[in-house]
Amino acid sequence: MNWMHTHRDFLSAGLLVLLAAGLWMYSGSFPQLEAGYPGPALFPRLIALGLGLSGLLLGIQSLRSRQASAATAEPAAPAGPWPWLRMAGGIGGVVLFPYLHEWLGFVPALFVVCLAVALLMRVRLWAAGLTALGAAAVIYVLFTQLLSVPL
Amino acid sequence: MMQLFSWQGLLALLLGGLYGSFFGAIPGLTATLAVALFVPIAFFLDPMLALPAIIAISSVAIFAGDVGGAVARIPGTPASAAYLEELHRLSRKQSPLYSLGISAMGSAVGGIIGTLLLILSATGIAALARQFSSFEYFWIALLGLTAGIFASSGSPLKGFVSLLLGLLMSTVGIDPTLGHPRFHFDNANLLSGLNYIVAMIGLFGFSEVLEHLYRHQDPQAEAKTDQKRASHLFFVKPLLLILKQKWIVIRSSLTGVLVGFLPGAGADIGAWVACSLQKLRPNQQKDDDIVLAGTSSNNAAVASAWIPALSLGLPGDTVTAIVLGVFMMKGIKPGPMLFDQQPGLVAALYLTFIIANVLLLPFYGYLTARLAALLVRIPFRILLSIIAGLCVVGAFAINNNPFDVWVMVAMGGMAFLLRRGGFPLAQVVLGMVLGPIMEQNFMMSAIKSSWDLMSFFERPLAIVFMLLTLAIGVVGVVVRSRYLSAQK
Repeated sequence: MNWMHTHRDFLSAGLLVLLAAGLWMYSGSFPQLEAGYPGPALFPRLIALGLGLSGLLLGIQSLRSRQASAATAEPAAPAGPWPWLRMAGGIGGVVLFPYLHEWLGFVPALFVVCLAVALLMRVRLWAAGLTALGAAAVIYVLFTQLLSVPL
Repeated sequence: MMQLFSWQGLLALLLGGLYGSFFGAIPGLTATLAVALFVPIAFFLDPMLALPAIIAISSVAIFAGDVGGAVARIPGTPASAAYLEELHRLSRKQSPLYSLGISAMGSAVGGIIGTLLLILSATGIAALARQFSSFEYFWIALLGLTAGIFASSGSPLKGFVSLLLGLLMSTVGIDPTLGHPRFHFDNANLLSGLNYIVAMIGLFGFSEVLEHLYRHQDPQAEAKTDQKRASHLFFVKPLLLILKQKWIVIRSSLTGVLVGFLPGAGADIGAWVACSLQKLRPNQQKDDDIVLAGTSSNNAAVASAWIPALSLGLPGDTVTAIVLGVFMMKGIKPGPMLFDQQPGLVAALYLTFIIANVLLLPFYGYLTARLAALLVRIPFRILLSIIAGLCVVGAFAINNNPFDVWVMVAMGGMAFLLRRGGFPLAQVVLGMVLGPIMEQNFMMSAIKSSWDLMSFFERPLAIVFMLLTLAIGVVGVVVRSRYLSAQK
């Protein structure tokens, strides 16, 4: 993780150049206007050009001052074990919401999402359950009863 | 207009202020997040209730961002970070009631100055804007994007990358001028483009959830309790300071107005600029003065960010960017015609700013200052699960489309990675908002002039905006280079 912190600008630069190359190539499939004038590909290609040049500049900057960039803006370090796993759990819970919604209904599905996030944050089971139940109930009443929004 | 004074209107203002004070005071929650999460509710409210509520939310949230800073040294909003050390030191040395009193009273005065300038100049700018063609709109959009690059406190190059990512996301779906579908990957959900509000909830709301899941830290604070002479400390002493240092307030408010007016800048940058100017002055290093400078400029910027939003349809900051989305949802077209077509709505907005600054800020300021200690002691990890629930429902409720929930998650994931890489998020929003305006007006202008690109430099107003864009670019590069070399 520390390696990623110290090389994050270099990694970002690489990703940007890759994104720019992919964007440039994909935009080539868009049609052109009559008489060869640029069509729907013009703006995506300009963006690709900007991303590619920015990536190169960022890469050069990070190679020149790798230590300085790592010292000035290092993001907050994670506490506790498996930070990526906690994140994946949170993402998974939300991604599954539409399926749970279809299977269980709105309030139980939202309860599961809130409960999952609270448990991933190591809230005690009873407090997590109460919070999730309260949140799901309040949000449901707010949207369906007070605002007449179908959920 | 009368709807504002109905019980529903007053309730919307009061609840908006309460909601804003809650969001601003909790570390990690921002005024932008408060407004973004309010959007699904605003969607189903009358615009005469929804828009004043948004003004109350943003005005009070920007002030309440100081609560976490005062008691726990955790800024509630990015604007509060500009004078965080001074605010916290003042709270420890004197009292949180005094430091938050300066913040609330300074915010109120700055907000009133910003509102007066909004009232005086918005109509004039709207009258000028009636002469705009697609050429001028193209240059204004480019001006906003250029200003946006330098609006972040970090690297301008990273700001530029964020802006380009926002522009890229704005190209998803049917091309606004030529009607060709782009980047839909054979998914019908993407043909109509990325939903702007869904993206916003993901970028600001869900990324916050991911950030805390990753860091697994629960910001806690111990507030200093000082309940004696509370009203004297909160109201009288700060007002005496404002009278004594009236030039600081006026100068900082005007700075806030000028910065907030620029598309893409807003309260955060306004506070940073005003504090920097105050700190640069010799013998002006008193904590009270620096807090006063920062806090009066940020609320002045909150009001002035509405000047380009109302008169030109360009967002001054992320809050007004969301507000423009609300306008569009309601079928209201912001811009010069707004003043003729919706005079009641415009008057109600002006009045709401006055009410928010004269009544809501001191009222909620006093309440939040008294309750500051309690508020920041609520375990953030419990609140986080509620925020996650609101993000899911907010994204889903707009179209009842599960795909929107996944888009929201993707945006949150992208925002998390951008934050880790030190890339600002506000510029992504700016790119998404201004991208279609710039592209559509460029293509329209190019097609109607048979691709004679010199036509972009022929109209006098277009030349003025082009020169302004150039000037902002040059000044931005020079100021940033000096700043970076001074830091070394």
